[in-house]
Amino acid sequence: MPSLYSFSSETLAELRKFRFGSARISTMQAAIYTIDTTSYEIKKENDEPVVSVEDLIEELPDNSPRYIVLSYPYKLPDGRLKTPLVLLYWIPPTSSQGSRMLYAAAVEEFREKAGVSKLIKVEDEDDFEDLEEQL
Amino acid sequence: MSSPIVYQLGNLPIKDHVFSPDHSLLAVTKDNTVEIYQVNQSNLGVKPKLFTTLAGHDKTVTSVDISFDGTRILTCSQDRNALVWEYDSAAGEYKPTLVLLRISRAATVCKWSPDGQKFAVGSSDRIIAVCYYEQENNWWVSKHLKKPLKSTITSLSWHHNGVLLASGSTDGHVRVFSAFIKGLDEKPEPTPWGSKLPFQTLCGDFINETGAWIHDVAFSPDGNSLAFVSHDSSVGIIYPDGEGLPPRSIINVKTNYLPFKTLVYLTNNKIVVGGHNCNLIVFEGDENDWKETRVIESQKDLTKETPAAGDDDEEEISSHQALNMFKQMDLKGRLNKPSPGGNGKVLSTTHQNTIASIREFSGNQVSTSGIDGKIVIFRV
Repeated sequence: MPSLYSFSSETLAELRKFRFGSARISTMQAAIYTIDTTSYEIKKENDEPVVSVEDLIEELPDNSPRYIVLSYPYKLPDGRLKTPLVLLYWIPPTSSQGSRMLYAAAVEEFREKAGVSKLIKVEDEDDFEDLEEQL
Repeated sequence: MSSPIVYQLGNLPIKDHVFSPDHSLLAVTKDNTVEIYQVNQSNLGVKPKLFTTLAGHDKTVTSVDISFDGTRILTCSQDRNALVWEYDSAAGEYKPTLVLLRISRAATVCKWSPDGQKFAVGSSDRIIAVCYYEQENNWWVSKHLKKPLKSTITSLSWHHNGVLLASGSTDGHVRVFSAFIKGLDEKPEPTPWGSKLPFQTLCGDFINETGAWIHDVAFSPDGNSLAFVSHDSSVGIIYPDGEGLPPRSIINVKTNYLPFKTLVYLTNNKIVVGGHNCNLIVFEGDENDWKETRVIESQKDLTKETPAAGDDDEEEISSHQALNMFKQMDLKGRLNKPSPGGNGKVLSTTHQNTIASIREFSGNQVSTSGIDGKIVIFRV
């Protein structure tokens, strides 16, 4: 079934680079993706990489959904360093119904393209605090 | 003192009323609708003409407000919704925009902020919804003030800086919150209420000794004090000292009148209150002491006086007065006959029933609405 949403080859290449590149870096990295309302193209919103949870919360809009590809390195109890790649689906309750439907329809497709296995739904800033437990 | 100007707009109770800033329009709540009247500004004595009726709510409209530029009318109702009405001159009527408040109980009060960019709605859902228009999404977003509200909000008042919001509630508490919206408001100047004010900061939480329901709150014009009226027939005035400090003074004036329902500041040192006593009382004072100074109308205590009987049997009494007569007989077991030659009034005051809302009309005039369906402009 043809999709409504498009990805430019640039975005796909960036996603791939992020996936493999961030595994080696020992600090967290996040990339925010948005859907263009006219062309329905999914593209990256932030120019520089986001390196902390506080910066991420700052960057995210209060009333619109966003996709975030997050690489979050943390230490397992036995000492090993794990750097899982997760997709955060940021969807505040104050977002308009239209944009909620738009992002909900594309989330599965985006997850596939980004090559991510885990999806976490985040509804407001407080949800970020138990992020580590969910990973 | 000139006599008050009375508009009898039907017989339904008028819960809330508001004049547009240039006094050209008068909006009154009537059951599920809001009626808009055109006021004859050259001769206020002439009864205003009904211009249009805003019918968009499914249940009783509890509050109405007009933004300071006069372009937008805000209504909220027990149907859990708020509507923003804008005049469409091409169609010649007001078009409503629904605001999703996301509350699950009735909305009780709504007020525009001083700059007209956002508004606050209090509800029985223990939530205050602060709403603003978001350009990117092209719709009204509502942010909730929840903690530590645990009871129905009865009244709201904005500080002139558009950030501080005072609320009165049925748990007897008067609370001051910060309703600062990132991106919409500029950082306000420090005030005696606090300086660093992110959204939902509780800047003050006050309670009077009886814990009676707070019926109305109002910030003074300079914003340095807060007045409230509560169901224990008292008027309270709070003077804060600074963030985290106990207030400089809290003054509570107890009265023997029936409880007041509404109040308005005329100057920083003068308040006018009204309520179940059907009359307006003026209080004056400063941070050291407040006192009742004047009663606007002379009021006869009808429980003490027996009404004149006998000679008005031949007077024609309208059906409205007749209905009232029987109601009184039912209620009190005796008759308060409408006074002969008097205009069918049973009470000696202009208002024949509780004063529900009071607003400042001009420097020395206030306008009131009552459950008797009257809008009255008093000179204070």
